[in-house]
Amino acid sequence: MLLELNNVSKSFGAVAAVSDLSLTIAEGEVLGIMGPNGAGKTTLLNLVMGAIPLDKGTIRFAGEQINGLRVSTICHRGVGRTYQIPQPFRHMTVLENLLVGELYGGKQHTMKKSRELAQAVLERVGLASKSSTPTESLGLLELKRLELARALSLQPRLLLLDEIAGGLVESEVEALKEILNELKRSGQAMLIIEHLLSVLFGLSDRILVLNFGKRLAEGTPAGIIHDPLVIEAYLGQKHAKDVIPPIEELHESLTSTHHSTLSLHDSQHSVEQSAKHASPIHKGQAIGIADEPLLSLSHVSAGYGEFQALFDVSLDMHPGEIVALIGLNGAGKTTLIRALTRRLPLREGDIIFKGSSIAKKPAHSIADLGIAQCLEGRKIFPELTVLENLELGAYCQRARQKRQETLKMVHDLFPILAERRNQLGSTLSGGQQQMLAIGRALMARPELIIFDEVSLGLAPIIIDELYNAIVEINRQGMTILLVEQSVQRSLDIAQRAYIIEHGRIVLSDTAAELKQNTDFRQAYFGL
Amino acid sequence: MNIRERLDVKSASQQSEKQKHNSLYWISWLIIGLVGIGLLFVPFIADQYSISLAYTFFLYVALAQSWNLLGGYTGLVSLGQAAFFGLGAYTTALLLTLTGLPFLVAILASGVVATVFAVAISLPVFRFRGIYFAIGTLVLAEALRIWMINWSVTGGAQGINLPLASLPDPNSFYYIALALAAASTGIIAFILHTKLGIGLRAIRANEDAAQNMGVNTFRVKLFAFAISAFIAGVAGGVQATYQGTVEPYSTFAVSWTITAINIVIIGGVGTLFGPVVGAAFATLLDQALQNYASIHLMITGVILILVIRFLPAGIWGQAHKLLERRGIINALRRLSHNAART
Repeated sequence: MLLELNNVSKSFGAVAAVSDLSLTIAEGEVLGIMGPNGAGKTTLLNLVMGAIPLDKGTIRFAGEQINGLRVSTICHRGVGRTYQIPQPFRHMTVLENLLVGELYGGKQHTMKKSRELAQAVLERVGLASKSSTPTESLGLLELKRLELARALSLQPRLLLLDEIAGGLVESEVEALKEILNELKRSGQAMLIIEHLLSVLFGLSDRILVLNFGKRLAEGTPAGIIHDPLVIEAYLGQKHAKDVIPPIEELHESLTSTHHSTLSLHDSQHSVEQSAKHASPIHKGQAIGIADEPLLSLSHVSAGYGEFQALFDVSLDMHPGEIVALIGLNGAGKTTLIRALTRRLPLREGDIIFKGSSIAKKPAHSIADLGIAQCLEGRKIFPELTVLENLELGAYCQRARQKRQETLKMVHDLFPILAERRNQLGSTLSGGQQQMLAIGRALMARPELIIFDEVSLGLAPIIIDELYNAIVEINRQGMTILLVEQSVQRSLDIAQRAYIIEHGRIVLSDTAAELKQNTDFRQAYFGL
Repeated sequence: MNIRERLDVKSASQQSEKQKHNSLYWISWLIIGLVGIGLLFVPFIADQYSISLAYTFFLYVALAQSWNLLGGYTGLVSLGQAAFFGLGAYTTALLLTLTGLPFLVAILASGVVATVFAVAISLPVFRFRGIYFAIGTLVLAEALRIWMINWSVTGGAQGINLPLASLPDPNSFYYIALALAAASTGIIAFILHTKLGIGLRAIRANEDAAQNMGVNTFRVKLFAFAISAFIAGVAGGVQATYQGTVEPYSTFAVSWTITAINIVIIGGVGTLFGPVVGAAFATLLDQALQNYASIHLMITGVILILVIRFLPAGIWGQAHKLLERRGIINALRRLSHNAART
């Protein structure tokens, strides 16, 4: 056995993060780990890597006990790990990032040899053209590739991947999958933690489902999705059905002999090409909705320093609509929201909200006007209780008087927030924190809510719950702007969508039309 | 164009990029060499006062480089450089008074003693990170100073007066300090291009991730700590002989550490020539404010705040950025490339 965990336990205070867990990975095998947020998945990786000491049990790698060794020694034995949130070495170039692994990893090559090997790894993950780029100027997809490349530069016998596809849109995920499949074909043993089921199920030989640090189930991908325990705890009824087709698809791609980096380039091309095809199609500006827009951006340009991030962006939102904003990482979605919420000055254009311009209003007045936002990364106040977090949401004038009424509405929407009202924000699980963030946004009694990446890093069953809540919020009359990595999910609940590429709106249409648009599907679903 | 051809073109362009880089490399070393040769002749034309200013400048460069290796390149903000400096000064003073060792041997021994001390304290202080490391080193340096005040072997609070006969003549201090500044800058320039340099920068960026990539962070930090202590120790030895006397209050003064940090921040943290630019700035400022000792610190403080606010990359760092943005660095590269070809 390459990796062998025997009865491993780890507690943080009173919380058992991993309890009495045993598992094995053979040479060349890919083990997938799934489970709800807080199930102990990342703790498991940290234990294997030696980043935190274990309380009980043993971990053996290639027959030798490794628990108790220092992290760098475990790395030298042949374990390479990627981080869920990319942790590049800043102020260093992409190539220099990899040099660390080549020079200090298990093999410890000379400088000259290391440079050659590092360049070869970059070719493999499709980052060759970025070798002398400083890591500060990489986009998320590139950072994820860099994470993978750094782990590969160690030439590990076992690769630990923590949410490597998290935060990427579908076509980017496809590109990453190609690389991972190529690795698997080359016989690389892997331990994968992943919320994205198509990646997890496509790649894994075996899947282990964790819940509260314990083994909930284990089996082949096909077996696991029919396991009633797993469906109940993690997948939810709806997704159990959705997962089946991707498996067959992946088996196909596994048997194909396509070279990964080449097809990667191809898929990048197709995104650009379809964007070009797509640009002339501008229709469906206001389908069936005749009234005044609630929010209207006209010809907005904005940027950072010498870098212009938005070009001539126009966008309308009508009262009661759910509008999705779709784009790859770095396309300008977050910049657009920053401009809209006045955290970034406009260079040109205007923003009209309820008939009057807000382009010159200060950022803090936005909440008073009736625009609330649920920020990427949750950003709740960890040292305040759940109730205090919510009350702070009602800080603005318009919401203060109706605070109790709104609070009741939020508690109805998310009963768990009422149940845990006196707990500190930091003690909530990821999904609950997201609910709190949404609840806090609602407390401001907004007319328009911006949801930025609400589903990031959450289990499918939790995401379903959140999306149901968003639909419910919309039903109560609030207008919603949805920014989401998962194109499929956002189109399922949105009426209309705007597609942004390289800082320009290239397409806008109804959700139903977009689902039929082949260029769009090719670019964003990677089909 | 097929893939094979595309790759060939790419590697060809990388080749020329490399050549450009190489020729720039040689041109810059040529300039540095010319400046170095020029500096050798300064004592023949300059007056005694300018020479003493130059001495201070060189000493500052060495101290700042030693701090920059730790604070700038490795992210270990040490507030204990004065301990290495003071130990070096006392070592040279003791060796020259008690033994007949030549001056050069004594200052190298100073470096060794400071290094040994650094290695000895590494085990406890490396357990701390960030601000705690800074406080830990500060406390150790202060403890050492208080020890020296009370230790009779080193003359207690009176310190030691060096025997005049063993000291070099004033003019040669210029060359000794010049060599010290050049060597410390050279050592760091060299380190940056080695495995150690890559490891240090990785640790500064993210110590946990560096461990994950196989970097034995304790050992790599220890190397940086030892080299930094060696440079500071030798600088202390040089200063002891220049001064002709050592005593705990000024030799172990925390102001040596603070001066080094000021210089690096003003010049540019984590840059090779930032400490040189910063040292020049500090020397001239000392000079301009020498009659206003009471407000000297205050003005230095204000300048520090202004630099941090408006030039976060330091004078050299900012200049480098501006040149790059204006395309001047690229133009220089092209120019030197053409010059190298003809």
